[in-house]
Amino acid sequence: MSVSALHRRAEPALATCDLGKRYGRRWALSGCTLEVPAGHVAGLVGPNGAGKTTLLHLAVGLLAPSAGSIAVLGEEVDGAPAQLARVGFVAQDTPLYPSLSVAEHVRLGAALNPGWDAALARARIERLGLEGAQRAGTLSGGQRAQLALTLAVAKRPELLVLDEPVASLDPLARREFLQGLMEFTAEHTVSVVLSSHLVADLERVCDYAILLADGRVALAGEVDELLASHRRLSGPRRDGARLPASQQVIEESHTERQSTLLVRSEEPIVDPAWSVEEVGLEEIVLAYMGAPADRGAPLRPTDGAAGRGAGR
Amino acid sequence: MTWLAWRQFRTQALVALGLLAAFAALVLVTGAHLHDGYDAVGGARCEARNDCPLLYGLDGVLADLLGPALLAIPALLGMFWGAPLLARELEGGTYRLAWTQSVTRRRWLLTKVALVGVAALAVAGLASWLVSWWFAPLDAVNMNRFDPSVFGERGVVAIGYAGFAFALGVAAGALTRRMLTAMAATLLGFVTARIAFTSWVRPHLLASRHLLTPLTLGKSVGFRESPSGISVFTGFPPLPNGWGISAALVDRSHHALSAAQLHRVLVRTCPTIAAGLPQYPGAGNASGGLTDGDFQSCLQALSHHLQLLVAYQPPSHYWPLQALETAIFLAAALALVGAAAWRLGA
Repeated sequence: MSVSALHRRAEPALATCDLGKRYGRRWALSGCTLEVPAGHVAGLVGPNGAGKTTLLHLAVGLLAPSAGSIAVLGEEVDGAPAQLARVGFVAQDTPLYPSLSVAEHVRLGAALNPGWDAALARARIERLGLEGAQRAGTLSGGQRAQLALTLAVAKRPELLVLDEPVASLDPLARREFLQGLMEFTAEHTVSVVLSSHLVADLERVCDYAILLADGRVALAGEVDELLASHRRLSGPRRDGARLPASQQVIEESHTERQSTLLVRSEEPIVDPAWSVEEVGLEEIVLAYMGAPADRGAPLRPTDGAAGRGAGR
Repeated sequence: MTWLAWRQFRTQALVALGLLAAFAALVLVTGAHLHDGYDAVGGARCEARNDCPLLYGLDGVLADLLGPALLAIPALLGMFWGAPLLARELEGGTYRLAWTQSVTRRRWLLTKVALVGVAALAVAGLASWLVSWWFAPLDAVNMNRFDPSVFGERGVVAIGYAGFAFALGVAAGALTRRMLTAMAATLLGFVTARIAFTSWVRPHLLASRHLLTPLTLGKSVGFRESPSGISVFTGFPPLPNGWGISAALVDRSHHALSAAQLHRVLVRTCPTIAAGLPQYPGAGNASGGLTDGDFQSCLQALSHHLQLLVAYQPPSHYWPLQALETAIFLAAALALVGAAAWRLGA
């Protein structure tokens, strides 16, 4: 959390305002307003097709917005070299040039990035045990991902954006990749935005979560606060509408005798009729995915830094 | 950026260099032999003495192959260098790696296009120079440098074609994002552009000159049926190293005559021929039933009333036309690169 503290007052790592992207007549992303404070490892979750890749491509300038605006590190995304140098990106499926060797990829990074950290790149390649002469096309999925991450971090970016970096990796490679990422964030002041459709991956590494559903932000906030403010209530059958105003029902299911609710509440739940359980991030995310889109504004963290709303 | 562009181009460049070296060796060795043969008989003067060296063996085969090879080289450069330049990155997803380094998309694109594009121009220029040199003794005899199959296979136009085909490939790649589609589109687009330009643009690039000659100088002068009766027709007179654009039969006051007017002239001058050609109605060559003497004396008689007015490009227009056509194709290439850049948002 010390990294977080350093960045408290810094420009947000990523900020969008009413951002939209249209492909032909279909909006892949619309009315997206969010703010990821600097210094976090932010997880972007959402079902396939929710617009995660579109949002991240907009953030690194691969795409231009059809509506609204997007800024990284306090600057409108403009694709200028100075800004490109501040943002590292690992694209989905970790693209590399199949005919170029590992060493040539490192040379590519050194040639194209003024702030290249050759020592960091060398150390990572060594630790990973990658052969310099090996062609990228013959690397395993895990090695490819690690090499792509090496290129992105040796740029020494202030913001690191990763699009589903572990989606195609086996569990071991997945753990090693996330471990490498964590080591980098521990040693350097950097903000990270990481997307995945698997919440379990994010729960391990992220301290900030954003849920994207149907091209809109359904939930955004610090993971600790999300966990602290959501509870599962179960007890005798009761209509959710009759709860105190401070408790918002995200998901409810009823049997003839019993009700189970997932609620958000900033205050402790004192009603003795309920048995109260803590919930994990995955359950929270799933509940919001199933919730109707107008189920209220996303959680606003106490420091006021995060998302205003999916609802207009 | 230059290093990456070169590294990605290296294999293709080496393959091309190997092929070009083999091509050059073949052309130089056989060409030296051909040149020697013509030098021995006094070059183009052999035509008059009818003792030009015969093309046999490899020379004969090459005479048929080298020209078409020069037609194909720009198309191949467009398909194998131009089309994959962007399409491979867009299709394979590596553009996401390249465009998120600290280099603008514009610089990335221009470096790649400049490196490979200049190489394409150089290859085409060198190949064209080799082929032009090889054919020099034959061209000196044939005097047909404006012939569509000769004009495009000599001189500098191949450089323009190569630049255009390459840029077309680049733009097709940016547009389709599929390598095979881009290659097919490049081939189709290039062939279409070449044919269209040769047929409809090249003849009008420079104002043609006019020439009035006796009717009898026209090649394949003859008579044929027309809806308004039997009429006279003619081809171009000999235009050594010139290019006939149009030929018309005119009267003494230089007015072009319609088929009906020509028929009336014929009725007055050669009534036998004008009366009809019963043996071969509608035949293209209408000398049937009449002796060659009738035919010749009629033409002699006609030449007192008719002349041949020819519009043509003189030999002195050859290099201006080569330069103009090259410039137009290169300008189109620049526009295509601009379109590709716009398409990529660079």
